[in-house]
Amino acid sequence: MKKILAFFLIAMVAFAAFANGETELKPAAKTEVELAIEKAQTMTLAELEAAAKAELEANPDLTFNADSLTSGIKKALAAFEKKYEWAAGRTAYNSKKGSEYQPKLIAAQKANSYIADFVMIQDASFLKNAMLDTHFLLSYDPSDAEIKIADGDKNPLVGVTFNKVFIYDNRTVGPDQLKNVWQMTGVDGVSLKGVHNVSYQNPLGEDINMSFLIMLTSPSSCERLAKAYKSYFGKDYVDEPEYMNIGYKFVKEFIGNVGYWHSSDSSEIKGLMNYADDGRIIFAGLCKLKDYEYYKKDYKDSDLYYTKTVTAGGWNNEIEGFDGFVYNMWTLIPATAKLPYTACLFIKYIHSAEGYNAGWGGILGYYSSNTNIPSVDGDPALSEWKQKCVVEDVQYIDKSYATVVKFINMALAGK
Amino acid sequence: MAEKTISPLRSRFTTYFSKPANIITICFLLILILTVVLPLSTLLIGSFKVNGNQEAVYLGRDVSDGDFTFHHWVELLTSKDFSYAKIKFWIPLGQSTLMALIACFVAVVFGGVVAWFITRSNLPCKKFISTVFVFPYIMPSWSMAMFWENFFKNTQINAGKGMLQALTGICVPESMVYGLFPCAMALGLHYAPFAYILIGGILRNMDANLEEAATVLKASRFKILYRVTLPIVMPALVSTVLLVFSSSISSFTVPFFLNKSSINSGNNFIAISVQMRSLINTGFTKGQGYVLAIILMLFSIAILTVNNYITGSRKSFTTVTGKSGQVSLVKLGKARIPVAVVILIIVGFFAIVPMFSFAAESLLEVPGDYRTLTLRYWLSSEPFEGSNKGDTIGILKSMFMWKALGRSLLLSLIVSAIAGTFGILIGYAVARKRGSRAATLVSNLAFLPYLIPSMSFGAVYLALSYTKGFTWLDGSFLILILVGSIKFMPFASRTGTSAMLQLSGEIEEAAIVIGVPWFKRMTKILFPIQKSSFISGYLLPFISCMRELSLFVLLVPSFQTLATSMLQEYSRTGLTQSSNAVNLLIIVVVLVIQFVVNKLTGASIDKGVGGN
Repeated sequence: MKKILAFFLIAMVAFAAFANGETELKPAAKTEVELAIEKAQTMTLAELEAAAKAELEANPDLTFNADSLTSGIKKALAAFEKKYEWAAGRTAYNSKKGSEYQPKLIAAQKANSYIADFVMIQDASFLKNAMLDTHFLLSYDPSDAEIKIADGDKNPLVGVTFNKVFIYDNRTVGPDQLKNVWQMTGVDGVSLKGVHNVSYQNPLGEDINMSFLIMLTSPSSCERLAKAYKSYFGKDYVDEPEYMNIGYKFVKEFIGNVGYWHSSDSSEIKGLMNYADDGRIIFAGLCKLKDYEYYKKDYKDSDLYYTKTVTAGGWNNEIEGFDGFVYNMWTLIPATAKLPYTACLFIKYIHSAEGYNAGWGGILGYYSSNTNIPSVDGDPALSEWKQKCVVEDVQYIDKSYATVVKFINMALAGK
Repeated sequence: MAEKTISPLRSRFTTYFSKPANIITICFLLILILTVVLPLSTLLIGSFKVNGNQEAVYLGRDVSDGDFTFHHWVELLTSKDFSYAKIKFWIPLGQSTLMALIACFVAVVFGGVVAWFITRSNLPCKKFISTVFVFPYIMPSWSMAMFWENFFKNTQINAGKGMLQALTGICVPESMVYGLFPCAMALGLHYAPFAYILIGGILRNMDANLEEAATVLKASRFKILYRVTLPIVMPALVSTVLLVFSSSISSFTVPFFLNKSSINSGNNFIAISVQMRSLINTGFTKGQGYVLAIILMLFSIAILTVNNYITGSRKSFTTVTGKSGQVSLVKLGKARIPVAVVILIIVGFFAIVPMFSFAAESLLEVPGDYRTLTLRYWLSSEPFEGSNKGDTIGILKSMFMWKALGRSLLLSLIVSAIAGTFGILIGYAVARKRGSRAATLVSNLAFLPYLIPSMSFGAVYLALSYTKGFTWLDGSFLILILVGSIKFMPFASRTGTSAMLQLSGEIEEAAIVIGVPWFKRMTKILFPIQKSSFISGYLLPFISCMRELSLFVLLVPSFQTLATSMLQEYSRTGLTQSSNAVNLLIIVVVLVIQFVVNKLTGASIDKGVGGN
């Protein structure tokens, strides 16, 4: 064993020297990709199309690689190839799960290597600290007469926004059961109607769920919680010494009351009817409602399938406190992209009504950052969701992560 | 003519390298330092530095990416802030150790007992039991966890109706479904084939004269077991404990999947591996994750030391000599049939029922509704409707699936060929140079890849593939072969070493005396004698590679590269029917390969124990 330890130490020193070699990215004044994006910014759509076409023709061996967690990109790429025949067969979609994709992005950033031509990722803190501050992922603003994007969503460029809400089986639960978020802390009583069957994805395996819990301790969430508290308990919240604020109290009591910790939102929603008897309420992406299979047997071959499906499950967007959590997925171009004009054109395409609808159109729970594209019928507008939900805020997450996550871990351990 | 003088140093050098065992030792020492020690050192370095900007933000002081720090160790092991160290490290470590020990107990007892019945008794249906006993190992460990949950869950614990409740109305308590105990059981059953193969291989080769001599000397049954049988199977027993403990304590999917009960139920169990994955996957706390990975490895190294102590303190484990040996079977008498029935029920339940369960799940349009049988997740040429899955079609009609399966197969074959051959060579060198420091070092280093968490191991090679001079490895098939061969070498080196240690030196010495060259000695004498054990050394990496995902997930260029990455993609996107179908397909392919190997070579993974 001593020999092994000695080897480790020697190898560690050797590797430290090796690892400190020339792999660090030293940001240059302007990279070729940055210059291309700047140029693309000033081009008309026709000019950008011509530039992308020329770029692909000049590089016949290259494929336009698009890495993304959402399969909407796959469908958008297929439509993109149909629209631009010169790109047919020249694109590739790579499905990348966030936690598995981040190490690849970091490795590519450290080595300043090619990873893809287009990247769509979530996790605001990772994006800011690991990718934007190191200038590895770059934004292109596709705004024009048809594409209206809020200034706050331009840099970094938001592609699609998502929400996670409290979903239930409409036949057994219904919108009247969950009216105030404090019900989910398990408080009982005739008038209080505590809810005990909330299913929540384990935050130790799902970053978005961890971000939501962290955000619940933010000042804006505390305001919402205090208001809902007064309405629910009929009195103002009085500071308690064991909690830094009302958000901590809610997080602790909510975690303690979660009845079931699921491991996949998709699978959980898919089998929602299996939990009809226990009246389960599942915190999951609203877009996952499409996976609920209650009507699958009867309608799977029918045009009515989707409409029927989303009526089988329900959610309440009138909950006192908050309705859920809103977070973004950003569409960006790596500094090492080989086909930057094609990337800009594709970004412009998925922000247009045609491209967005090809990827995510007609489905609840997807919202384009192009404010000209409305949400689907029956789904409130993104602006409304942002008012009613807790919204991911990278500044707050960065500032409070160390403290809140320790508190959450303690709550998860039942202490 | 002046006589040429050879310097003593050169003479020693020439003599040293004239022995194949020495050449093998030195070659593998170099290979293992490059492929194992360097990746390990990155974990060690990572635990003492700031890993990225997010971690710098977490530390909240004037530090930046790459700075040296003791913070990760201090924070994880001692922080009293919200009882952080206790909750994040000490309690999970204690509970996970208990889980791993129970898993070892289940694996050794279940696998060892069945191995004994198969090899040393006149039990009926041996071939069938032996064949199906390895099925749980062929399945990914999480599928055993999934089966466990699907079988035992019930409406009394708000988990939906499971098979047991549907069939009998029985609702087991929550602690049987979620938490530490079911995790330990699922892992123990998954790894029981390890014990079966390793212990059974030795029991089969053991000369029964040893036990019979003890019987003649009026030794009691317990004494024979304690003083004769157990010492002989001790290397296999310790190897099993080492492999099962290391695998169980670092297993992520099983404890993550079977941890669904409420915090207040008392069954909520957060394993150390779940804590490690959450720390490593979050940019804020990667360093703490590395600390945890190192500590887990130290645990396993401690067991490795015990293993070395036990195998090193005994003079010999030779059970195969040039002399004749015989195996006499214990007659079970009236207990023969009842014992067989009990074993068949238990083995059938954990080895065959899960396969039927995967098949059924792949054939049901609506999970749990047996009126909705369909073959479309296997055979449909039309993209699936009603979901946002793009152009997903039946797996047998999908060219992507066939290509992925072909690549998985090719990768597993190459990896098993490399790892298996390396294992035999390492086993040879270790056995022939037993006791030498270099051989012990090679033996230990060859086992270390097993102790490195798969995803971290993959991450190290990912970083290498992005480094200047090595970018040709990025996204290549070669890098998958490289990591697979190194990561799965421990299986082969353990089996190779055990098999070589069983061989008496006199067999090879006799061949040396009559001038048989080394290659011929290996291929014509040593390999044929221990063929069944060596074939296990090839088959274990093959099976592990076929069902591996975490190791390759960062390195595959696309989710369509391997069968397991497609399985994960289906599972992630909610296409459970397709993921069950792929799971079943992988198991069937492995079984077919095993069958073909058996027909071509006469050997199989279970034959070493008693399949024939």
